[in-house]
Amino acid sequence: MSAELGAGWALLPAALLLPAAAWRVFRGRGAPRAVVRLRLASFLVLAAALADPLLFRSERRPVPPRAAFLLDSGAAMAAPCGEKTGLSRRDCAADWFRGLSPRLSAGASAALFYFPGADAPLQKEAPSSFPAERDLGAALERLSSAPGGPWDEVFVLTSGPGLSFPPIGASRPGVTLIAVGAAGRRGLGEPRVSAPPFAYLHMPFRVFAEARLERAEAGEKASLELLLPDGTRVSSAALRTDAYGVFGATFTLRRDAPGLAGYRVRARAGGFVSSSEFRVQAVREKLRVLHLSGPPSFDYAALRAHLKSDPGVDLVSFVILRDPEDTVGVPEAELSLIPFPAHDIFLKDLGNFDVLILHSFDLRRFAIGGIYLQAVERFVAGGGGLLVIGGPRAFGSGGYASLGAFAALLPAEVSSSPDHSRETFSVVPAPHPAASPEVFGGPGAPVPAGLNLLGGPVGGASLIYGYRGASGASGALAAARAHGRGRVVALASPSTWTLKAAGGGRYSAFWDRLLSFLDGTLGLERATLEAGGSYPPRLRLRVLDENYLPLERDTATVEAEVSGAGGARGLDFYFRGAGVYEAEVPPPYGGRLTASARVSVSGRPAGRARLSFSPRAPSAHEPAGLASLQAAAAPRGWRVARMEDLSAEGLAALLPPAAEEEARSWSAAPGRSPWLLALFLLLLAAELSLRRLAGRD
Amino acid sequence: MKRAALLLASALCCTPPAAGEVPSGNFALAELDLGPGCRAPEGTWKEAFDFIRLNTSVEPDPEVPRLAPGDPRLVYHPFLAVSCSKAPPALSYSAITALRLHLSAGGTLLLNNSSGARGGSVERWARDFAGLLLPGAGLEPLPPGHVLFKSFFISRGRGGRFDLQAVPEAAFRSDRAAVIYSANDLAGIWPVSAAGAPVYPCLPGGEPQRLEGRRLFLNIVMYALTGSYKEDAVHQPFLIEKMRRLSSGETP
Repeated sequence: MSAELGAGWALLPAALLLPAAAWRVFRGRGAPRAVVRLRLASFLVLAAALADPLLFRSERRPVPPRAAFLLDSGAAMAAPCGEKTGLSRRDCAADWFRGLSPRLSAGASAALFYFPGADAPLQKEAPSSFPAERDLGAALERLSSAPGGPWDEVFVLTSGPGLSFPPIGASRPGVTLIAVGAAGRRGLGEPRVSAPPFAYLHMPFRVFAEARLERAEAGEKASLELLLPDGTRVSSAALRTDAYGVFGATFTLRRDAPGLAGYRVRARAGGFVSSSEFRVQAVREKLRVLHLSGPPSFDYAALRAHLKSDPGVDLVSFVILRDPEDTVGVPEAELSLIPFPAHDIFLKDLGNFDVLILHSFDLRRFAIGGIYLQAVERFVAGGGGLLVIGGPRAFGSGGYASLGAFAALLPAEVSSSPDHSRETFSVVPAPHPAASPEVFGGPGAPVPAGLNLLGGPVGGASLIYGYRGASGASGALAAARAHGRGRVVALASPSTWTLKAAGGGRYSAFWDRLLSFLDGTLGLERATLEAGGSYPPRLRLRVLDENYLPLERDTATVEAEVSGAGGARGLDFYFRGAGVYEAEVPPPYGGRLTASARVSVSGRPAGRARLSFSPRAPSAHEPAGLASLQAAAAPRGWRVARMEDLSAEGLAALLPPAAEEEARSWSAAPGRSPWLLALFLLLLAAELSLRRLAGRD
Repeated sequence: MKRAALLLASALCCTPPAAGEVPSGNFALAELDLGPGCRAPEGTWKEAFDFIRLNTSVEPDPEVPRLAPGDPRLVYHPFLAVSCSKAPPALSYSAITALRLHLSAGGTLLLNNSSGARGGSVERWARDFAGLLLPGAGLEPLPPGHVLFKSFFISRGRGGRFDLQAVPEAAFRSDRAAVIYSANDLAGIWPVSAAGAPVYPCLPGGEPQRLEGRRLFLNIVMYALTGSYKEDAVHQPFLIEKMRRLSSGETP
């Protein structure tokens, strides 16, 4: 039995002084001895209440260690746990905890918490206890105030990739990283690829790929191959595994066409084959424009000045200042003229450009033999953009209709007789991504003059702008068509320079949009589907409004489904802003899947999009980043273990032993008892009665 | 096709200029109408255009309208010329604004002094006028290596009916010589009599000075039509070589 003062030591002297003072006051007044004793007793009881003594009995007891399990729910944990289990690593780890928990609870108290981890699945809400803590440091901090703590040991169930760790100096001790899904047997992981998210067109870029053969001997034969989606081999490297079973190589690639390009890296080692895919967005560092003009003109000067002033354009320009029949009566040395290098331009250098502009260009001079025009056709078929601008020596007036393969490229009907007219005309923009409807409308709009009287778009071509001439003629002012991987635009009038005089940015708006279409930046489709490289797979749907601008608000209705292994199932697209919708593909993910979407904007059909893709889950053999977990754990003083190696006993061995702590088995606070107050009142009443009986007031 | 036809049918209504008011060819010149003291001699432009047509691929429009500074047809004539023997009266604010817009949109103005006097009233007017049109950019002699001197002929710039100025002067807008001033009378060198003889003598250099003036005028026209193209020409081999190297994977 022990005792302590609940009111604290400060009140103890006060409690002792109270009866002493009472004794001092009442002792010498001639009161009966019994009355004095009663008074003294009542003050002693009052002093006892003030002191608030606490009586207790204590003993030492063992306390089991407290263990918290933090389960990473990031995207990497959505990978399969094993070849045959059909479970994700996250579910596998949760099952593992549930299986061990009863045996563990005999010697420890354990609790499981989820945290979202890196790149958590988009729509599927993980049963997360800490929904906002994506990195491990934040989750550990949150854990310190979680119910059931403080925690003697924290076990983090993770597969490693994507997890961000707390700073080394700020890491709490007592953490064990448990690697989930780590292969314990011989197997080849998927190649890891380090590729730039985008690459400049025509510029070499490097891709590093490496794979790991589990349980490999150093120096085993291995290889990496870089393949196109159709299986064509781009490059390969014969390699040897290092002491850790890792082998890697750097590949140098180059893209000559803009857009997203897919590649596959195939690894071979130890009789295993594995592969992974990656994509690179090919963008232009600068648009390379070759501008070939016939006679100089204001239109040429304005377009050249515009292109020269654009830092995103590399311009090489040639203008025919003098025709062979022009007679200059001065020596060549007094002329600032250079010969037009037709041979080099058409046969050597054309492929280095993205866009070729033929500006009122008399092609008949270069049509002999047809090799130059065939080169132009090959340039377009290979992905180049060709812009043919009219003028007195172009289209019908330039004999284009008789230029065979070149004539077949043109997107509008061309007369076989001279068709250049100096008449004025009005312009009607068509719903086309290359059209800028605002350019030719509104106050101050120019009235352009001079054009080749083209007919309508030919089959397979689309109208960008229509014209209606003062004479009543009408047709295509600008039309476009695809040829091979490239595009051709015919512009009937060399008078867009009048847009410059009209001001208001009309000229830039007109040309920037037309060039973006020519170089492939602008598409004809208003709805396009893209598959991301994430896992679980997500689809991205880009939707443009009727002016081919990204939707600003969620005004699209999307009906979409994905079909393939597992049958057809719906896709729920969510608006992410700037015309982008995203959906997560519901499982299963095996084989090739086909997604299709039908899109309406503000109730009007905006198009359909279709995409076939092969979502590739991380392989069960993929090393789960054990090495990276070890590298992260070492400087923090943490431990690393494999989940599959840990039994309940092994786990218990990682916990600190049960500690002994002193616990109170019984306690009482008599000073707070109502009986003490009753005794005090009883003593006062007895003292009063005795005084009355003795005849004293 | 049906869609295209519908679109064409809904063509915007507008009030286009008459066909005769729209220039043909790839070069059109208009004279700025600043009053009776500013008019090129009869036959000037025909001879000048013949010279251009004979030597270059440019097809000038033979029509040379006289346009007031606020004339809406200025939009079809980025190249304006004014040849004055007397200083014209001051222009209104709206006229100056219209000409400023014209120059800022890429237009070029050739100020020709046909008075034969250096530092006289016409020259003072030309300097004031250039300052009004391009505030902060006064007339300055073109530097010797300027691209205008090699836009077609290799020109020394010392030509015209008079020899009062070593090289033309210019006021620049965004590195472009937008207003070009000649004190040597580049208009008076062109007119010929019915017999084919020059109407005005070129002093003191005679016919070589006339020829140099013709070349300079042609270079000014070519400069207006091609900008700094000839400077490009110097760099084009380098650009093409750079692209070749990039394409072959070499570091540029």
